[in-house]
Order: sequence, then structure tokens, then C-alpha cells
Amino acid sequence: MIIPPFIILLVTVVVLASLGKSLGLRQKYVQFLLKVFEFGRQRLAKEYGRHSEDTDDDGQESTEVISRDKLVLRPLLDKDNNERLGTHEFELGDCLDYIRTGMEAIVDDEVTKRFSAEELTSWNFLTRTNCQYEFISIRLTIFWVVGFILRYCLLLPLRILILTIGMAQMVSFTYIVGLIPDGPLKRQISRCIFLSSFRLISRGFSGVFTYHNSHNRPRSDGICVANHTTPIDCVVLACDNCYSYVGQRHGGFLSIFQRALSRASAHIWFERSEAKDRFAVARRLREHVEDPDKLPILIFPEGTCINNTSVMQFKKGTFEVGGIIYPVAIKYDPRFGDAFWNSSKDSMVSYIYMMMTSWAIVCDVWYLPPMTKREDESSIDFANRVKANIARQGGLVDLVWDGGLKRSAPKKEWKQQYQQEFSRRLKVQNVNSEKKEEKTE
Amino acid sequence: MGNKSSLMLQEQDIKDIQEETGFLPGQIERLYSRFTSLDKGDNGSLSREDFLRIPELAINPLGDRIVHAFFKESEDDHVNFRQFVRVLAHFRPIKHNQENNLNAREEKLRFAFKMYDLDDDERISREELLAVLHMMVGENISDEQLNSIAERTILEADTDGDQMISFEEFCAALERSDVEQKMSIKFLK
Repeated sequence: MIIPPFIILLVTVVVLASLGKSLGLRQKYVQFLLKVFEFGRQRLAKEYGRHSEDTDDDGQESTEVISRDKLVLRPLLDKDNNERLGTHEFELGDCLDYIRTGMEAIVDDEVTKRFSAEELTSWNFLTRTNCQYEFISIRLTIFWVVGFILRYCLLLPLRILILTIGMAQMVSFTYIVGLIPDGPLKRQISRCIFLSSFRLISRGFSGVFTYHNSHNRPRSDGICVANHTTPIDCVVLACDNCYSYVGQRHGGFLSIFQRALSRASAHIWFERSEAKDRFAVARRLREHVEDPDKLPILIFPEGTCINNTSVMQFKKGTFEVGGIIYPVAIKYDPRFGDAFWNSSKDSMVSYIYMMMTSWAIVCDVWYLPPMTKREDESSIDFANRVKANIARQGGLVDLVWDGGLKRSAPKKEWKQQYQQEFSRRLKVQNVNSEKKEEKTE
Repeated sequence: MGNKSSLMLQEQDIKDIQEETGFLPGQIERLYSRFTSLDKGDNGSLSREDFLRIPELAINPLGDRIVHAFFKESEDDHVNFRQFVRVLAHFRPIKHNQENNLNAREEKLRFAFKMYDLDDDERISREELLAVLHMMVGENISDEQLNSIAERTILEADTDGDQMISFEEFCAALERSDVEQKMSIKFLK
């Protein structure tokens, strides 16, 4: 009895996705959810207000523990090193600043919180983000139970089906298109296939994406650069425009996709050994960019997934190629489901499972005006300029730190920089003038 | 509020900690949230690696010493939440009408003193001072110059002539520095 309506629903979704049209149902769903969350927040505030004695001044909930306005240690950029510092004699109290900033870092530092899911200021009725909230009030419990049933029993099966159909569609159609010789016809058809397949896949997550400034949409003469939160970033961007992907050649399941994509248009896949050769990488990127028939390249210069509260160091390789850079800022709304993939905690499969049992994936995409490297700028400065623009647009914190800190320890040079800086500020007895000039260069 | 806590903080614990340290319940809960997020192995306690995983602390020239301050009290090389908060309590700003024995000026000074005094003999020897100096300057200043700096510093501070700096001499030397301000962290309510 439920099967025919189910099938009709499925077919409707598939057809709409292929045509790039939408009934606006997902948007209405998202609006409704927002109202529910607001109700939940007010209820919680009331209940918690009863239990605790001290309440916030303005009722705003915050997750900050301390406020820091003095020395904060981070990797120093070249320009920081050129300041002239006054010197003084060593005092016992000189270490106090370092002690305090170290303690502040223990309580709240800029980096470690970027590698785990963003903390919400209010509950969004998902078990994974609660602290036993569901036992606070009966109404909240009911909402949570209803939400649970809705997500797991209705949405999940539907989404799995849609996702499977979408992926099957992409693999099979690209196979067919691969038989057509290269040319304008093939490009046109693959564009249609990519857009409709990715749109279908995005409905598998109840994706609601809003694109801003479409006139800045990346063209084939440049490289598109975006902040990285999750592999779903590729889907988000691919629903609006077609890109060439860059990456290492994987084995197994992923290789099926890599080959499928390559049949329909040119992508840049590297062997693991090739990836280390930076000149070869830059050469292939440049060749691709200079070919007007090829799609714009999509690259995530952070090199790893960050939790969408900040933008971390952009690796300079992309910015040395010398083409036009199209920056894109992607900001997810964490209330509907946390899109961040914590690869050290979740495998790909459990991550996808969590995405499909969230409320929705809602995000904003801003296309920023294209940028090129200035004459007097180094690649690193250019990378930082692009990063600053993306961070500003997306409302993200602009960090100097390397995303690689997710897995590895900081470089010794960064500690040495601070030792150097401290030494330069110390007045040292019987120091010869050459030595001092060396240091203040 | 934290995202998840596998070991929940009991009401009574919060009250005890509030008594002992002067932190407000909301602050204690947020510190607990931070404690659990640093505790990667979910052990209910922190090891030195857990602290040094914080990049800002790892690049701090005095990072190792600061971490060591937490482990002075612990026997098994692990820090539990009570010990964690007790150390942090030293950095609460001083309020005139709140008497608390952990964040008084003298306690803050004692904490700084212990940064130098590694062997806990209540005296900073020339070697201990040199050790800290070496941590702060790395390889950028020669040993002879560091020696002369250490000697001059001890000469200036040492009033009883024992070639070492006692706690009283240390406090006197820091009379002019704004210790309360420098050794206080702005905890939000």
C-alpha cells in the first residue's frame, strides 16, 4: 500500500533533479525546522533558568570560556620578523607573559577546536549533540522522539534509495558518454549528466544550497579555490557548475568514480609518487588551465577537512601556477546537521550514515570576484590574501595555522621563532656590533 | 554546554570545586567540557601528550615547564579534573571582596617561582635560572652571555648572600611588576 506512493515520490524527485527544478519543498522543510529549533531553545532556556542561579546578562548563550587580548602565540609570518624591537635587561618577571599565554592556550586555543564538530549554542534535537536534554521536559522529549522516527524510518530509506539511483545514474551515463568522441557535443552532454547526477545525489542528503553572486561563477580559464569541510563540498559546488577534480588515484570503490568521471571530461588524477613532485603537479595544472575546452579546476588548498568555523593555512602550490583564482566560500548551517567529516573519528561509511540521518545539509555558497597574483606579491602572500577574502565572506576565523596539525605535531621552527624574538629583545653584555646587526636585519 | 561527556560531572563535585577554587558553576562546566575534549583516550585524566597536543603550547618556549606544573601534584603521571581546575584557579583574577587561597597574589607569585625552582628546594639556583633562560632563548645567545645574565640577575635579587634566590627575594624582585595582571586570565561568566 505504501509502495506506489513511494515510487511516485521517487520518480518525481529523480525527474525534478534531472531538470534542475525544485518544488521548494526542501526550503519549506528547513523553515519549519527553524521554527521547531527556536521553540526548543526557548523551552530549554526556561528549564535551565530554573536550575542554575547565575544567568547570562543578555540571555545569549556562548561557548567561549575566556577572552584573550594579550600575547597569543602562532607561527610568525615574515613581515612580523622585520619589526624593530627595543631591548631591555633580563628580569625574573619576563617569563610571566609566556606562562599566562600557555595557561590560556590550555583553557582555550585556536587550533584544536577546529578539528572536532562545532559546538552548538542550543540543541537541535539530534541525539549526537545533546547532553541528556531529552529528559528536561516532556514536550522536548516528544519532539525528539517524533524527529527520531521521521529521520530514521521515513527519510533514511528514501535517501538511501535516491543516493543509490544517483550514483548508478552517474556511472552508467558517463560510460555511455565516454563512447562519444571529444568535442562540443560531448562537453554539452557531460555537463547535463554531471549537473543532474549531482543534484540527485544532493537530494539524498536533503541538501538545500543557496548560491550567491553567480556572475562570479568560475570559468574554464582558472582554478576554483574553496574552504574544505567535507567531501560533500564537491557535491555542493557540482550542483551549480562543472569542475575538473584533482586528487590522488585511489583504489577500490572510489576508483570506480574516478574512472567514471574521467570518461566524460578531463580530470587530473595523480599516482601517489607523482604527487610529491611539485613541479610536475604545477605543470599539469598549468596545461589544464591554458586549455579553454577544459573545465575549471577545483582545489581545496587547506589539504584537509576543517570544521567550518575557520579557514586554515592555504598551501601555496596552487597559487604558484599563475592563472586566475576564483575564490569560493562555503558555510554550512550546523543546526541541521554537522557536515564536518572528522576522519580520525568516523569512517567514510559512518560519516555518510550520519549525514543521511541528519535533518538536512544547508549551506551558503558565495562566489567571490576572481583574483590574480600581483607583481610584487609572493605566492604565500597571495594565498593569504585569497584566504582572508574567503574567511571574511564566510564569516570564518582566518588562521595562520596549518591544517596538517590535525595529525602531526607543530614544526620546531615555530618555537624557535619565539626564542629568536625573545633573544632579540634581550640586552646582552659584551656583544660585538656585527652580531647585533645580523639579528636586526 | 559540551557536545558529549562520557563521564558526567556530579552536582556535589561542582559544589566542592566551587568551594575550593572560587569558579562559578557555569565556568566549571565549561572547563570540564574542555578537559574532556583534551582527553583523547577518554580516560578521565590527561597525560603530558594530551597537553602538548595543543599547538600553541607546543611552540611556547616554556611549554614543557607549564605542563610540568600540572603534574607536580599527581602521583601516576596523570592529571584528573580536580587537579586540572586547582592549577587553573591560580589564574583567576583577584577580586577585592573574595578571599580565596588559590589566586591570592602570593599564590600567583609562588606559581611563577615554581616555574624556576625545578627541584622544589625553595631556592632558585644558578643552574635552575640558566635552565629557564636556555628554554627562552634557544640557541640564539651563547652560554657565556647567558651565564653573565644569570649571575647579574642573582646578584641583584640575592639579599642574604647565599648565591640563590629564595621565595622572599623573588617576591621582592617582582614588587614592581604587575603580577596580578600578568598572571590572571579573563574567565567569562
